[in-house]
Amino acid sequence: MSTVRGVDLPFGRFDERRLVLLLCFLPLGVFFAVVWLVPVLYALGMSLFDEPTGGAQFVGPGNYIDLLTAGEFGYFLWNSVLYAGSTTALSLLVGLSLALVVNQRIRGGNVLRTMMIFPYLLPTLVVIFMWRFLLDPNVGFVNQLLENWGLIAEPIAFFSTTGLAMAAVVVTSVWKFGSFAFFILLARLQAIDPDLYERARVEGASTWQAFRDITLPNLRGAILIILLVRGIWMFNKFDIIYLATGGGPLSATTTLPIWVYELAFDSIDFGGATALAGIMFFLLAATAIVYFHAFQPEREVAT
Amino acid sequence: MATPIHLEDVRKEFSTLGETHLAVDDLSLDVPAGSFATLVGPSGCGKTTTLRMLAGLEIPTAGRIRFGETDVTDLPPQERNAAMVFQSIALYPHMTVRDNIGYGLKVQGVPESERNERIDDAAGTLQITDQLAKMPGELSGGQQQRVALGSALVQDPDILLLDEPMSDLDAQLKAELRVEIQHLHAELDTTVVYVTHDQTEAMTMSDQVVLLREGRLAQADPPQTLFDRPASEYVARFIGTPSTNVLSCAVERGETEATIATGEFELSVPADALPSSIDESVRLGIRPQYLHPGGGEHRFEVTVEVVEPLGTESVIHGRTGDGTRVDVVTSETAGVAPNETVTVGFDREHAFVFDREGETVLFGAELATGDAREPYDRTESQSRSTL
Repeated sequence: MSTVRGVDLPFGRFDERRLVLLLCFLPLGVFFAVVWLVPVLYALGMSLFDEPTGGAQFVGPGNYIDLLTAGEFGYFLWNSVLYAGSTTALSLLVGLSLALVVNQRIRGGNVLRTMMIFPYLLPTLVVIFMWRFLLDPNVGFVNQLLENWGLIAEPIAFFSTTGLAMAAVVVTSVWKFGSFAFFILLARLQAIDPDLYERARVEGASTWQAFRDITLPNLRGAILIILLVRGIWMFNKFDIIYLATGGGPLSATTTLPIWVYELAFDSIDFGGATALAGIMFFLLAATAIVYFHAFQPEREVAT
Repeated sequence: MATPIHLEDVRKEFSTLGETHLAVDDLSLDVPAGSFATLVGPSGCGKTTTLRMLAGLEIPTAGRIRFGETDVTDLPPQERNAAMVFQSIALYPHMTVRDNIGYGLKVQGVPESERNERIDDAAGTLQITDQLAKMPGELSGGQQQRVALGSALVQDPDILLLDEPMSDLDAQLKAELRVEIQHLHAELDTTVVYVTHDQTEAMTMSDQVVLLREGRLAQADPPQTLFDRPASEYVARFIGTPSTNVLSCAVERGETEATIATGEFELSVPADALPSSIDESVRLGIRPQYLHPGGGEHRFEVTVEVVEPLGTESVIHGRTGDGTRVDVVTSETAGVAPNETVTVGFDREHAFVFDREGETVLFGAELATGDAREPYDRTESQSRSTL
């Protein structure tokens, strides 16, 4: 028998306990509404108008249709997918390899682990300066090295050659963001009972079999989360690309976020920019829903 | 096919930060094919290290290990037909019980139908058939233990290594599994090496108990021999519960007789029964089971501190006049209460005499039968231990 006073409502009992719960949730609800829901809805609303900041004129899905039928859309989407896919996959591979090495308790493993945090801590601008310097055609270390080894005859301007700019941006991004996967995977690796590997050896498993049957299944949840989160972040990544190449040369590194920026601040087409942001949002949401249904990464993490 | 195990002067050193720690010190041991040997001793005595060397998880610093005629000293674990159950049980958390049991067979390339047949057999023996589809996390501690045993015996190993497999189980489950492991051993054609710190497990299950002390062999013998003829004070105290009582005694040598005495009792032995290395003092060991309140040839007084009733009998914990701890196991507890004094006595055939280094120099049983004492010989004890 509840001694709490309250009133019975059609959908259940409303009493003091529920009131306290409601009061606790209220600030959170307001916060989300103000910083998340309202801006998103406002932006989506803007995307339905032509010149929303000036003489706003309702055009309905006009902006969306313009964008989707524009010749560049496919190319920029492909750039985005290429950039997000390759940086995510490579930073996962780099992070996994380094985590496996450090987990072997090799000499110097702790130093390596500490050093891995630095790329993540460095401001993007500094990272860009560093890599632009490393890859510079005149004074760059990489070009000198390649020339000394006789691999190239002429210095290469990596960031301003159409065929190589995307690769250079990808390398820079992987260098900066590889440690994200590294730290998550290392923590996960260290949580695996070392007795499992000893048992596998006594049972006759080779190193590769032990990796396939013990390490990978234990990392599966972490890998799925890294792919999802890193993939979304890299798909939306703006600063590292824009600072490195500005989307060039000849749009070779223009991804959808860069295009949003160009539409908004170069073409002063806020309607188009917000419509494009909306398209990106729906693309990512659809991908995430399919992903969660296919792999159920949240269940992996829970176990 | 059960295989005998031979260890020859096996030595294992661990180096950390320039310091060398000697875990196993020149251990020689023979375990006959198909027998059940238990490595027992307090933590840090090298028993688990020895087992891990048998498994191939550690490589000896020196010495040889042979399984039958095969020298396995430097073979990796994968190439020895040994199965091991770990102290942590070590079930693969992401595999079902069936996959856990069958993993060894799978990596060895046993076809699935045969694998399943063998898994079902093992599960039947261990009464876990109902659990096969579950994940290890859903099982109780005792069931997990059975799964670990199942994954070891499904491989039909020549040698089965068990590293304190029951240390996390409650007393009742332990007693149950102890019997089951013995049943399994009787059914299986395999040599079992079992590591434990629990002397009860060692005594109840083994054909041969190998007692280690700081990496050295203290004694290797069948359980009853270990109990009746401990080679040293260390063995006498470790084996048997409660632990053997040890009293300090003075020795006086006469022409034909020597006297071992405390202030309260005297024990005369033939002078030649005590080796000449014994000077003025010895230590006398008497098991608590052989001390009787109000009875026995040689008596002394004990101040009672605690009485533990165990049902049919009780354990009396007390101290002698000079403060030495004495335990008595008896069913006659009438009038025994804390802070009271009881006179307890023992017969000479139940006494052990230890020298200053703790070696046993005399067994009371020999005095009682009047046999001339034969010096206790370690090497003889070992060769006997190979049954």
